[in-house]
Amino acid sequence: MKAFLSRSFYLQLILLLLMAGLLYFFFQLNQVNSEEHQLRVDTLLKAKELDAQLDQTALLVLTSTLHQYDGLNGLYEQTDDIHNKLSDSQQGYFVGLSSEIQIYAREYASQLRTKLDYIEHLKTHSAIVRNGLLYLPTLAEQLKNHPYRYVEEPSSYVSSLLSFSFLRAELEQEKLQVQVAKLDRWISNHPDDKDIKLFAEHIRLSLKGQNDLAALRTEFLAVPSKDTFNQLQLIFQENNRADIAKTQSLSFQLLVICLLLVASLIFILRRLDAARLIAENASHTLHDAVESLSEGFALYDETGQLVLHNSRWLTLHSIENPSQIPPTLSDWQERSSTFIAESYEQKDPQTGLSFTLEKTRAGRWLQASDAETSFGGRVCVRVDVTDLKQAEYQLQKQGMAIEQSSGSVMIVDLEGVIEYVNPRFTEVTGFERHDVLGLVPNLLREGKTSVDYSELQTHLDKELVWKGEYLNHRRDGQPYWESSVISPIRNQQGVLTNFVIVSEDISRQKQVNDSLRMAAAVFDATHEGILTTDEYLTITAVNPAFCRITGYTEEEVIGQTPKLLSSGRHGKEFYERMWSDLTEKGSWASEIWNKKKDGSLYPQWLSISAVRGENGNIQQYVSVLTDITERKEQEKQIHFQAYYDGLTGLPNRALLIDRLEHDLALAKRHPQISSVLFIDLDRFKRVNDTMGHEMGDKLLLKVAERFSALIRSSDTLSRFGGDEFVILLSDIPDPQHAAFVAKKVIDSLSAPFEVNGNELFTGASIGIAMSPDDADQPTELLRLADLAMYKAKESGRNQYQFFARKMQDKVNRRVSLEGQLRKALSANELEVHYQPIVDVRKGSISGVEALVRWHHSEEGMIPPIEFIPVAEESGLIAPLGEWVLNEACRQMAEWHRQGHKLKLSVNLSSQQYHLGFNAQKLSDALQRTGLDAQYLSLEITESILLEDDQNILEWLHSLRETGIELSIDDFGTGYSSLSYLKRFPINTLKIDREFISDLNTDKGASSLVEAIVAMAKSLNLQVIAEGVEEQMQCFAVRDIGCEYVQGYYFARPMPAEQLLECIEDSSRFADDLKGERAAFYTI
Amino acid sequence: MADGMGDMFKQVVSIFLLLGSGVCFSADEPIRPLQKISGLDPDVVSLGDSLFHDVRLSADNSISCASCHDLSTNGADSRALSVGIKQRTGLVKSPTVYNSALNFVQFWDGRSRTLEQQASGPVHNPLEMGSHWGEVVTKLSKDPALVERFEQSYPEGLTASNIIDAIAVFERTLITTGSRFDQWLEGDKGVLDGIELEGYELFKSYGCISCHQGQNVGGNMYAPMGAMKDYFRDRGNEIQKPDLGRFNVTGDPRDKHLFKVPSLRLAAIQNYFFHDASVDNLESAVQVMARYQLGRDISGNDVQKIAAFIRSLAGKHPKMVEE
Repeated sequence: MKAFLSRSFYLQLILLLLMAGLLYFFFQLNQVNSEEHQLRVDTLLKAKELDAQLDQTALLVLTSTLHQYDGLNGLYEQTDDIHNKLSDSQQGYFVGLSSEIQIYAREYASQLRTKLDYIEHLKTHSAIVRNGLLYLPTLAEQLKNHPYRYVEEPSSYVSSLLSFSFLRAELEQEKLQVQVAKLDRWISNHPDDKDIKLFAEHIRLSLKGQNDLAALRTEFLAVPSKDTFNQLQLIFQENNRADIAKTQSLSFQLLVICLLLVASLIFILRRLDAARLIAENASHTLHDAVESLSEGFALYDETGQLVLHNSRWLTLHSIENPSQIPPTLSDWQERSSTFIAESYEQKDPQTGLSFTLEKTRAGRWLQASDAETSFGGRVCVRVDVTDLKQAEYQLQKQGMAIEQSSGSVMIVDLEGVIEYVNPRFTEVTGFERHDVLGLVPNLLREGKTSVDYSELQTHLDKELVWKGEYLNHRRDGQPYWESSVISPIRNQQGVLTNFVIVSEDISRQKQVNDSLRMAAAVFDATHEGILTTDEYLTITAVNPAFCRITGYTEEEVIGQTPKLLSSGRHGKEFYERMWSDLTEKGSWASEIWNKKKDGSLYPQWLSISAVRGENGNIQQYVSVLTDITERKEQEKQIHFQAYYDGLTGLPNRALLIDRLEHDLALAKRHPQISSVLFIDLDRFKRVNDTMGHEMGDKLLLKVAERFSALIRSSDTLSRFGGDEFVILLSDIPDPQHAAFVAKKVIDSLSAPFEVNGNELFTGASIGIAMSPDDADQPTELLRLADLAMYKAKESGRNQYQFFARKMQDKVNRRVSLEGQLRKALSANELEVHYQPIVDVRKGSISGVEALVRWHHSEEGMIPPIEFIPVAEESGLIAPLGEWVLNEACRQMAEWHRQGHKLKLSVNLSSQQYHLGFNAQKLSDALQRTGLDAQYLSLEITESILLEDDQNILEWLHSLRETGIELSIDDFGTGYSSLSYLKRFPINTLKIDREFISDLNTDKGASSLVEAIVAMAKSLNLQVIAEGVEEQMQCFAVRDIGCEYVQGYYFARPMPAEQLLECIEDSSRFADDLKGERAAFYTI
Repeated sequence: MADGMGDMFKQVVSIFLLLGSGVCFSADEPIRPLQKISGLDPDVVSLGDSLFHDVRLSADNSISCASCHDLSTNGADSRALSVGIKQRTGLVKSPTVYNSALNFVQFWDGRSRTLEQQASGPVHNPLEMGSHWGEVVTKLSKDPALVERFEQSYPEGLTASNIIDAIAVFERTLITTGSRFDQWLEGDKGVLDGIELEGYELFKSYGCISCHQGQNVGGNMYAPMGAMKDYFRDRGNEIQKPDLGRFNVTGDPRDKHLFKVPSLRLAAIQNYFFHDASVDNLESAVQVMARYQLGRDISGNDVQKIAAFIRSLAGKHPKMVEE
């Protein structure tokens, strides 16, 4: 005992030590905190983000992109915040890490702050530089008539400064230094010239400002924040790795402690288990003995407490759960009615001992005997006597059954002497019981019978059961058919003592059997399925045809109700009508969907008749059903082909129109808006042409799949034909919803499609028309949506466009214009006019631009802005363009022969490129008209340069190879930069009239034109100013250095004959340039 | 080279945008309407209001913040240079406290980043309040009603940092909204007359807008006093320490004479102009700015128009006394 105690003491000591170790390592592990690490990582990320933001801000300030600086205030807060987190010696997130990390963090924080300081300086200096550049053109303008202009044009300083500002070219700076030196010389010679002094001071300050700005930019870029960050990040990660290693080691130690702890616990538990087992074994032996008793057994101690009982006790009292058993004797007696239904005292007739017979609630009979034990307790024993009681009762029942049986029963002894007949026998035969007892059954036998009595005798001799029919006669002599069963009866020792004959009068049955046999043959042979039920709809019979149709066997359905065939497709009303027909008319027939055994639904023709009994109540129902699946399938197929698209299975045009009609009709009763989305796939044709129809079809299928996923079940997605789909959105809240769906449709195509391992891209242009606003007829609505779709295509791919009434008007106008233009082309209603291009240095005409004019016979002059787009859309631009080119070349060649060597500009539409205009056609025109190629320049717009790089480039080169020149018309309105232009073989830029007209209103415009001219010159391009209308504009562009001018100031476009006068009188242009307004040339 | 040309073209266009006026492609105006700052605790605002007017913040209980930042006028001093305790005179003109919450830094030389940092400046300045927070907290702790108000708004009760916080929160409510120019910006085009509109166009085309922009029409960058011409030489007086501006904070020679660009929002109703209060009327101030910041003399006519525009910038605040 003592040894055990001391062992347990040691065990407790070990457990205590292990627990202490566990706690120690647990807290160690907790110190390696991952939350702080996350904060640090976040801070580093935010700092890096801020760094990038600072760079971006510096760039924005440098490029003067910001209008105001309020937006930058947030940078201060962010920088302060990051600075604190990185380097604050108390609250910084990096406190506690290695000193190296802290040094780098502080370094990085201070570099961020330095960058912010630089941004401040950039803001300050860029304002000074900007204002200087703003003021200098004005200052130069004021010096226009200053004598210094003989030394150098003041405006050239401004140009140089602007160029220097934009290009930062060394060359410009050197030039400026030379120019400034000139200024200084002038000032030293004219010390009182305040104007030039001021000018020089501003030039110098502007230069200094620009240099300061450049220096600041360099310093900003030199802040090595990226390197510092990388270094910081590197060390930080290393530090973090060390932390993780430490955590891992701690975790391992923790694991070892845990394992030791668990091992000790297992050891203790095993010891406890062994002790418990010994105690339990003894108890088990007793329990087993009691349990093995076949009687129910319960033992109560002297206090009435239940101490022992066996499971038989529970079973006998139908107690399922041992916890429900009353724990004390008094409880048991109190609650005995819960278990015992009735009980009474009985005396054993053999032993004479009295006992209690109890009937339990479950109907079991128990013989109960209770006895006192020697120590004052009570032993209760229950024996199950249910079987005995039941046998007794059974006998009683059988006796009654025979007495009341509907068959006649006769019992004879081995000699055939009648010992017993039942009341039914008397009813059937007319013989009273006392008439026949002691006689033999032969008294009933009818003479003429086909029954083989010897066979009966053989059976009885062999003590076997005999079944058969024979003809008997009643007491009054009337013969009747009887079906009998004769069975031997044995006593308990198995000795044969009697025969019992059970008979039934089957005369009537015999009669109906014949007709029944015939009906059964029909029932089995017919092709229609037949099902009969009783009045409660329990299936009583089915025929083979029924089994064939439904797949059920007879056994499976007999006893069920027809409900098991129900498809669930028909509503309550359908069945209500069926029942009312059956009740009122006695029959009902209809086409109905039912369910087969395999679950598939099928249509059938079903007719039901109610069969009424003699009392007029319905006794049974007979259903005849015909499977019409095949007919239905055919109908459905025909319908599908008419209304669905064969490839995608989507509704086709016909069904769409059908649904639209339905929808629009509905809208008339309940106002609602619906929308039609007309979708045309972009680039689909290319897939079809280049990869084959099979690929095209697969792509269409996938597109249809994506579209289907986008719409509600109440909407209709249909394939309209080819690559066109139409979505009908019924009853939508507002037009915005249609736009939303259109957007989804476009977005759904943004991801590529994989077809046979190829990645295909497509897009969609969508036109939207709304009902009832746009139209209330299906075909009209579709047409308008189609129209809007074309509009969407025009404004670029992957767009959607709502139909607008203006579109229709515009289309009408265009269609009519197109027809008229076609006529005009053949009827010679077109004419070429020429507008002079004046060389402002020489004051003479250097060339003309050919411009087409249309005199409509009825409408008068139609402006080119209206009919040129029509020509471009309809393709008429090809014959029109070539006609103008030929006509203008012819005219110019004629003037050349007359000695007027002018240059000719002719517009070339980008559509002409697509319509096949090429170098061959151009050479043909030149050859035909005899115009020398070097005098012809073709004007193209910037937009064509953006279309398709390589092909356009080759086309332009091939045109140039014929010897002609190329101009860019309306320069500055497109998106091309000069660098882009450089790639194309361009000779001339025509500055757009917008810039020229701005010269009046804006001082900045002249700087811009100046810059364009300077740049063009640097690219070796000629410059023509278009749209010059006023003297001031003319002089301005000339002073800027633009050599060629075109515009109303000199002359409007005019017919050829008038131009000839103009050429011959070209001295007037020289006058214009002297400032004296010459005669105004008009057509 | 090709890229260089592309960049150049972009720069031309961006300058074009800044030149504004007739060919302005963008509807963005460089000046934005003033907006009230929301989400301020009304109890703290009221506490800050009391503290702002509390003379116990000065050593001899003679002056409060409001003494030099008179909220009934323009939130600054009507005198050229303010007078602190014991009649000591300050070195620079006190700038307006109105709209100061929108300034990117505080003081002429930007030595405080935030309103909270700024608050300690005058309290500690021997020429101004000549006190320190310890003394102020001791004095205010003897006022149970005030202590109670602090305890209601702050868990820590009356402390130096909570005094500063309350004053700064109060100062954030001092936004002068509803100026006629702001109404114009917000779409009420009839509210400005032709002269004022011309003044605004001149303000932009002369380049004033380069520095005076944003909600506060200034207050979000530094600029050198005398960018184009030596202001201090022409002024004549000896250069004082405050004249060195931001140099006093950074020690960087490049920062000499660099000052925070002041807000023009209430310029129309202030008596003196510039850090040294050297000018006492708006028109002269415009002329001085043109000469020294833009390097040009502009006509009296244009000066009048610009001044008219500047007058349309002044909004209202309930603390102001209507004249």
